[in-house]
Amino acid sequence: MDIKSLTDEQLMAATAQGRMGEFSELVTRHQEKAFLLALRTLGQRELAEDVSQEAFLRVFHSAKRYRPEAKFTTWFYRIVVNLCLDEKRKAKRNKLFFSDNTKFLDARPDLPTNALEAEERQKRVREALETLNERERIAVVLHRFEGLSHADVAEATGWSRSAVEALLVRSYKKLRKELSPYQNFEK
Amino acid sequence: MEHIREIDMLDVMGNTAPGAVQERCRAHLATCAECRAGWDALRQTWDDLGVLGDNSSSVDLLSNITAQLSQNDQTVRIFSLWNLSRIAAAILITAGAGYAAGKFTAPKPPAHAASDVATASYLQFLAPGSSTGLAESGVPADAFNDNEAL
Repeated sequence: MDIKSLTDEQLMAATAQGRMGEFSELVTRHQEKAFLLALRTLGQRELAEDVSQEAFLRVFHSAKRYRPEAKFTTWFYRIVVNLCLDEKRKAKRNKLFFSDNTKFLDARPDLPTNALEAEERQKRVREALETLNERERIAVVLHRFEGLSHADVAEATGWSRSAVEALLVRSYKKLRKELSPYQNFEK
Repeated sequence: MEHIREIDMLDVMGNTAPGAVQERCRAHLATCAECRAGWDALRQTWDDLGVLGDNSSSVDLLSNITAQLSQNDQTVRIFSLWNLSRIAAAILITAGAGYAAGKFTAPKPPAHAASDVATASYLQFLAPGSSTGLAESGVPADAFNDNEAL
């Protein structure tokens, strides 16, 4: 059977038997999502790469314990989120503040002609996201950028559904407040 | 008229709300100006965040991950071989040391072993330090053979 036609759960079952081909397919499918989730949460490219790499190593080592009752992506997001929270804790202990050296995205050579304007807009959105605390930011990243419903966010983070509802509503309010001056200006 | 919760609006925007919620939300928004205003404000924020949404990464984790996994695998193998050798060496050393200790420190019979037997048999006159001095004199035991004395 073609590996590409297998579901994530089937790939996990094969990974549990130590089959590297299936595990590689799993990495190929989800590496970008994992990386972007970590990048948007942590704000540092290198750190995001380390976190997503570690997340996949954990997937490989705990494949035997994975039960297909849980959707793979939900289970996987939880691993990434927990690793991000660990990194945040470490950074706090080391008194490093992400906002001081945050580089959400490296400059890309294929920027459009109105590159400066686009850069400026991105910068404002990044700054607005930085005003959120880590739980709020994770909730927004999962909801807005990973396309999870608030119920899925609750499942992926292990937080209660009501807590996620409150977090999301509060976070979007904060973001609206941060971004509204620019919205009026641009209009 | 029941208004739409913000969290439901957010899920509708993300297209993650169940079909029934989506329908109810859209129908309500068509008639409720208050919710419509809330929706428009949320929509604006949602769209603003979109400037970060379409960034693809050029990250390739696969080669790093497989390299790390094979490295771990080798480490585990080397580690188990190393551990086995260490256990075998520990057993050999322990056995050797035990043999040597046994050979060179075997207990010698005490000087007055025979006297101890005598003491245990209530023959105190044969014990060292007794008033008879027989233990110290080296008098052979058969010297006390009653039959011979007679």
